[in-house]
Amino acid sequence: MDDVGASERFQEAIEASGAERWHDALLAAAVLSVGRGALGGLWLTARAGGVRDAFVDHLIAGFGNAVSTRRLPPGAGSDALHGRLDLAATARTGRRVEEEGLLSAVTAGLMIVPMAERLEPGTAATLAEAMEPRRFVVLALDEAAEADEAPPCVLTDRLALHVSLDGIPLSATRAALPAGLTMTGKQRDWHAVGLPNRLLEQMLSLAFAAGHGSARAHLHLFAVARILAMLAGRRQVRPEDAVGALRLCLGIRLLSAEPPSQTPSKSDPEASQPPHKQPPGPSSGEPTPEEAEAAHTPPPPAPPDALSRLEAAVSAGAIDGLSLLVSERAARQAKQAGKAGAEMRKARRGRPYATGTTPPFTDQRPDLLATLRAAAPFQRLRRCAIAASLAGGEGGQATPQIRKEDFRYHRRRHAAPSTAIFVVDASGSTALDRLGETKGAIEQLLARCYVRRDEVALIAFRAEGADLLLPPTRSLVAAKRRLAALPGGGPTPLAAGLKTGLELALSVRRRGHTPIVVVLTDGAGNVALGGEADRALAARQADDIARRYRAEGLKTICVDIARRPRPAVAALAEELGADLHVLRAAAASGLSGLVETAMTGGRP
Amino acid sequence: MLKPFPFSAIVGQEDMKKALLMAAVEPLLGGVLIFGDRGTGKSTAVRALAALLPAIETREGCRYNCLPDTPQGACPACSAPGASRTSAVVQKPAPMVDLPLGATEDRVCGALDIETALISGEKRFEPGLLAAANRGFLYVDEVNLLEDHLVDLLLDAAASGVNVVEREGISIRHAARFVLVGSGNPEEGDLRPQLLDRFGLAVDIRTLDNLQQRIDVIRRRDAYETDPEAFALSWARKEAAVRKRVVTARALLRAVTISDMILSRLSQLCMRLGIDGMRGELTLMRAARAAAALEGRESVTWADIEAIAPMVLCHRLRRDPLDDAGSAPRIERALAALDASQNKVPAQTVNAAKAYAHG
Repeated sequence: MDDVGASERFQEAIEASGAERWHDALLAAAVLSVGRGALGGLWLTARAGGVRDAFVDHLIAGFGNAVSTRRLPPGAGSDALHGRLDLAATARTGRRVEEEGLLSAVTAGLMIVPMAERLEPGTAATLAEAMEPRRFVVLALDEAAEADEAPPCVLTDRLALHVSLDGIPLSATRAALPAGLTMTGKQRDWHAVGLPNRLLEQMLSLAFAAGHGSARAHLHLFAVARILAMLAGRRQVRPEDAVGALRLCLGIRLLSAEPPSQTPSKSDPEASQPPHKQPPGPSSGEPTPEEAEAAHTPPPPAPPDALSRLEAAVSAGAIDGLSLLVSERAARQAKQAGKAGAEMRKARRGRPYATGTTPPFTDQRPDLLATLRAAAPFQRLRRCAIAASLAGGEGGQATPQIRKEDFRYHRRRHAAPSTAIFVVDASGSTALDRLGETKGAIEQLLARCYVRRDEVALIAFRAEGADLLLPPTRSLVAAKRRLAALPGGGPTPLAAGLKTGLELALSVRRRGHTPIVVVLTDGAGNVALGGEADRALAARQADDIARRYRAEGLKTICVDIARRPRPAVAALAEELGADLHVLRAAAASGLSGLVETAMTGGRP
Repeated sequence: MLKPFPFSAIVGQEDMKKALLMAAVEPLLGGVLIFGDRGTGKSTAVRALAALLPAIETREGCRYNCLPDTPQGACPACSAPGASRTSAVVQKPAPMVDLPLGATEDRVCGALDIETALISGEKRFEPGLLAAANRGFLYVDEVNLLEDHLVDLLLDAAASGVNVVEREGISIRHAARFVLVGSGNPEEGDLRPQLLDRFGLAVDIRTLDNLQQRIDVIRRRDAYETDPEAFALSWARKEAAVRKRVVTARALLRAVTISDMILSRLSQLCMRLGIDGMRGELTLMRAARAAAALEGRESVTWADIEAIAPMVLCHRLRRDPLDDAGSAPRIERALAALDASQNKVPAQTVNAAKAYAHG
């Protein structure tokens, strides 16, 4: 009955961690309701559900009834934010009447931003710009599922607190904060709370070590630490408040709870840590109970030297915050390694992002509503003009007067599709296996990428030259037919393969797609462009062409398909500016997964 | 209106401060682009600068910030036909206009006044942000996220100093001399090279990596937030010193001279770096004058050029994908190379000049 005991302990650990996280969330809400505009707001990472609703309700209740709460409608544009002329009311009253924009409606209130990870950078910047003068608090609801999805950092940089509700069971949400920590009429000015320089130094260097260099993040830490001290009824910030601020703002916490006597020593950090660093076993996806418990045990109730321990842990590299840099609060957004296709403007389909006065292409149909809106203010003027030209004839027709300059057109944009170009070494003895794997990968990719309208092409090089075996296509049937008979064997004309790949990539780019070149090879070429068997010349030519890949800024993946990794392939990847992967026993699914990550924008 | 954070209380970021002061001294520089990480004090510095500058004189009720002595035809307050000029000359703070990202073309350039059009059926021009920014600053945060057609419009007005509106049956032109300041975070998108080139100065700023400086930032900011008035008062003397420097430099600017020797080396530098067009050299010359004026000198030295060359030239270099080093080291290298050949060049020039004089 070992299993039962283990699962019970597992359950307990989960509950304990849930309760602890919920406590933190409530604490963050209490801090926010004290700090308000000085803190900017709260970044809430959670899927929609009961736990999130409970938290949001709690937060709004903490703000009191007097505060106006607005919800940003998804896809809100700038006129929804800033307000615009209310034409109907203006015409009726004969006075300029502005519709109230969301930003002015929410002054000094609470703005809820649902689906913050989908927020357009422009909207986010508008919002961020208005936050400071208007003193409103933003609650960004982030439902990101993937690691690289996140709200725009122009917004998150201004939000002091970060709460993640993952892993909190609904049962935990019944708990409330201890009475001492809630606002019970003892509101004192938290600006008056003192913070010694040494503590501030430690806090800032910790934040900096975790990669948070923004002065705003530091100011937020400074404020939150003092608010925490005030909530606990202190006049001076103590180390536990500083630790709390680091946890609530940046998600920095100790990974495991050692008793205070066993402070992690710099000399022996590995010994105390290995269980957590090991990835879970390949067969059982579930961590063992011990691991889970150690990882989930709440941080210790902050002994006096907690801050020094955090610092020691940072230098030992054993702090949760450092891994959380990636998962919980990224210090900066990494540049996307693979591009999911650059944005294409002047597109015929896609999301409308603006209206313009000129049609983006010749047969674009006008946007009727925007056109009427543009024409409406001039109706009286035009009627007067018509009346004048008819010399006092009937001037008051009810038909709207619409002129050429009134016409407005939607502008649309969408992500340009990607094209994966496989350049495959079909020479030598391993060729047949490799070709089979590549074929499998291509078919899998095509089966999946139709939705995104991505395309795949295949170039194989062997014997004297390179052949375009599969021109860019998204048809699975065509690909299967063409790939059925793929020849292999012979010497390696690497330069010719790269050259054909480059030409195809550039032509794909000219068509508005984003090319991704996947080079599969097992070594240096031995046939030059002209077909002569001159190893030195072939290497020089291959290098020259590879450098052009880098100069053109092409996204390239280089896959080493030799039985053992070879320096020649690494050198080639270097020249290409490519990511190098070694696929010793490449399964088709592994390869297609790799390429698909590159195509959808994540790090391969 | 909250008092802005004092300019002189900003910790570090000397390049940015210098670039902004130079632009304040010489508006013809053509704008400043500040690229850098979040939370490095970009917007704080710009707002602070506008508050620091001396007030401008204009007539009461003027919405175009006309000079009192030379009224513009477009301005009804300054040049009302027939009416005697009754409106008095007033002082107002140097304009600092924030361009919101969501602004429309109408709002920026000005457009038909819809209110009068709707009510009385009369055509009247409603001036936009460009008119409001005349003789002051126009600040665009996140300039890299602004729609391209708006950026074009801004840069055109900034370079020509005039805003021309020809639409909806209105034809008007008015002065729009302002210093364009754009800021942004390059991680969120780049500017097109054509636009980059039209900014006079570009500075890259980084987060401070000195712990003591960071603590100063936090302490000062906190003191400011607790009591803005008292904080501003405690920095008033330093602010006055900076203001005086700018005023003196403005008066001095036209008198600053550049020797032919420095001009020729300056052209050599631009040639060495392969910079297209003349704009780099012209801006370098103007910027050098402004820098010297700020120092209170009447002549430009080579040290001035060396100090400002990166901020004038960095963003004009062609990007070389094979050169991983940034553009600042390239400029330093070019400067060093120029220095190395310096000993020969003047000698040759002098000889050539002698030969010319004798011949």
